[in-house]
Amino acid sequence: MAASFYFGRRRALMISKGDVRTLNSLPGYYGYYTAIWCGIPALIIFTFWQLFESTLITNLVIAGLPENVTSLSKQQLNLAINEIRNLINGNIVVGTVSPEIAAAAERYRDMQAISDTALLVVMIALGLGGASYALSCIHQQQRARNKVENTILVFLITCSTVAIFTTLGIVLSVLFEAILFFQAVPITDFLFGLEWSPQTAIRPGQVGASGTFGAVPLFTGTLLVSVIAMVVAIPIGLMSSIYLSEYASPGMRALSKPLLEILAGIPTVVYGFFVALTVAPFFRGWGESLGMDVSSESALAAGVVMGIMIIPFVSSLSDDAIYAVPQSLRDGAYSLGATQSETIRRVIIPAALPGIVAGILLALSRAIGETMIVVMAAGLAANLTANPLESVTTVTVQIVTLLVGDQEFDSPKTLAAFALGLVLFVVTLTLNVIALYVVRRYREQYE
Amino acid sequence: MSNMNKLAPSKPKTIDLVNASLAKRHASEKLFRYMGLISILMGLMFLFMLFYSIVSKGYTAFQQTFIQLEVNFDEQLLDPEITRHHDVLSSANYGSLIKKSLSQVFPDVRSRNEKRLLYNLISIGATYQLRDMVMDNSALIGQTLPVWVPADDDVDMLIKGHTTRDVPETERRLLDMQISWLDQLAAKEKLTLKFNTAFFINGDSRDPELAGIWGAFMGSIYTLLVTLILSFPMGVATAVYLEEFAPKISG
Repeated sequence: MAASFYFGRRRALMISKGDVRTLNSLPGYYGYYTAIWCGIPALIIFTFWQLFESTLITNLVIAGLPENVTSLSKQQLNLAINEIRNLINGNIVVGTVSPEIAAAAERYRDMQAISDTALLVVMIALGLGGASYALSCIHQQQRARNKVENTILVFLITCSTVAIFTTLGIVLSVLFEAILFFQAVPITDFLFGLEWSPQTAIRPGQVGASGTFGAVPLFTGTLLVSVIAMVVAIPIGLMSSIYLSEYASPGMRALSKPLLEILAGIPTVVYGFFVALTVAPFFRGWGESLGMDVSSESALAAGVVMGIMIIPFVSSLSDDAIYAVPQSLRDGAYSLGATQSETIRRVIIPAALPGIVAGILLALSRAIGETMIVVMAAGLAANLTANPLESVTTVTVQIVTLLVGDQEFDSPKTLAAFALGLVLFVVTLTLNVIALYVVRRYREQYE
Repeated sequence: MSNMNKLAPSKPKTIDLVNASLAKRHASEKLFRYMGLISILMGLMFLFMLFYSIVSKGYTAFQQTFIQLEVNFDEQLLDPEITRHHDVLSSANYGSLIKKSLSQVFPDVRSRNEKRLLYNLISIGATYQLRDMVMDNSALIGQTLPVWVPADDDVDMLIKGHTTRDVPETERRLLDMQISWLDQLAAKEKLTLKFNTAFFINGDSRDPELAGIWGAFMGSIYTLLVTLILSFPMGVATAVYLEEFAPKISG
């Protein structure tokens, strides 16, 4: 590709006969144009080749296998294919290798070699062909710059849409599996049932096999932990952002803000075992000394530490909102004789309120979706209660325990995880949409 | 302001009203200010509590108890036919060297049970350590050298203070006899805490004194590398597109 760039540029310079101004674009652009024509078709073919090569060769090899192998059931055919692949990669093979499998492996290896050489030849041919086509197109009036810029634009757009497509893919995959689940368990049972006990029988007649999938205890558990987290995070976060933006000296602000941001940067698994090792025993001992019965996996411990983690979110989002209020409002209030706290309480907070509310909603959606802290700190048994001293379980904990288990993939027990994931996704999406709407609708436009 | 003098004297002047409320307003201002300061301090206090609790519980992981033994790399035990062949050296019984060395330090340990308790004081990694030493340099065979070998994890916990001697013997992992041997070793300055390099070099292990984070660390690095290579160009490209090229959408 570098060579094609060089040749393209040279050709452009030659055409201009020394006077570069007669060209439509800078000589470099002609070079890039040639390089693009050389590289992109080859790259596209390479990608598609790699994607489809192994499936194509596998199918060809299977078609060539003798009759007794192709008539096997689907699982045994898969086993045979795996054996062939293991032989080729030099991995350990189970037992002795039958001659058909060995012959098939040989054929696979041969076809792979043919395909590799073919790929190399095709790519070189495309590269040279593209480069020569581009070179022949170079003439004085050619708008090389526009074409090159357009190519770059297409590349940027593709990158931007990748994120959207990825999100779409995730949502669709969760949706399909959740639909499978709702065929086994009715949706009203799931959303409104009060018993969460996700055991299904592996063998017929197994004890403890009755499974009920009522998710209300999970929702209340999540809500309890999140509310406790918000009760901790909102006052501390809001008041510290007010103090830092209105009262603090620049030195203190420069010191405290990064320190508070560190709280957001600590890995959540570290928070998790901080809860499990320090905070939960502390609450338990404190409760026992007061005569109360505090579980060692209380919602209070998990909620408090989750609140600590969310403080920087609330703090920085409300800091932005407060900062956006124009100085003229503050000056007006001061000139009327208001003290600083009165200005903040009566003028600035109401003006910044949409931004603050949006920040709180975003922090809430973060709290609801938080997994690692509650996996290590909260319990596993569903408990329908409003008492923060008892152990509750949340939606995210249940998703983890369901998917990490040994059940087969399409049993209702494992599929319940997808249904829970769908509910979680819908709730956090709604919260984020509401936050955006609140900001857009109620935000004061200060010129 | 001159009109004010003509009003009835019972009507309060505005300035008096304002002055009367000033004290209260200043007090609430102070309270508000303190509340803000307290909330910042609470946030910072949480941060320091977190760091303190983790560091104070975990810093002992960087130390490991080592015991010094006089190891006689006896040719008769390791390589009687003097082949110096790789396979022979690799499969020789290095554990016996350690056992002999320990028996020399504590000659009055006779019974089988007691000997087993004595040998349990040394980590199983010591055997591999001696093997690596000989494989690297076969000239060691026939010499007698002092070697610092890692102690077993029960010994490690005792020396670091995580288990105490106050607990009755039946509830402990180390018997009184073993502790007295350890005290004798410490008195001869053959038992000490050193920096735990094994933590950074070794991979996972079922023996706590030999476990390290190297495998997990490399896994993290590879994951980060893949993430960076994928997300950094795409993120920058998206940002450039949205900033420079995309049509301005209001709102």
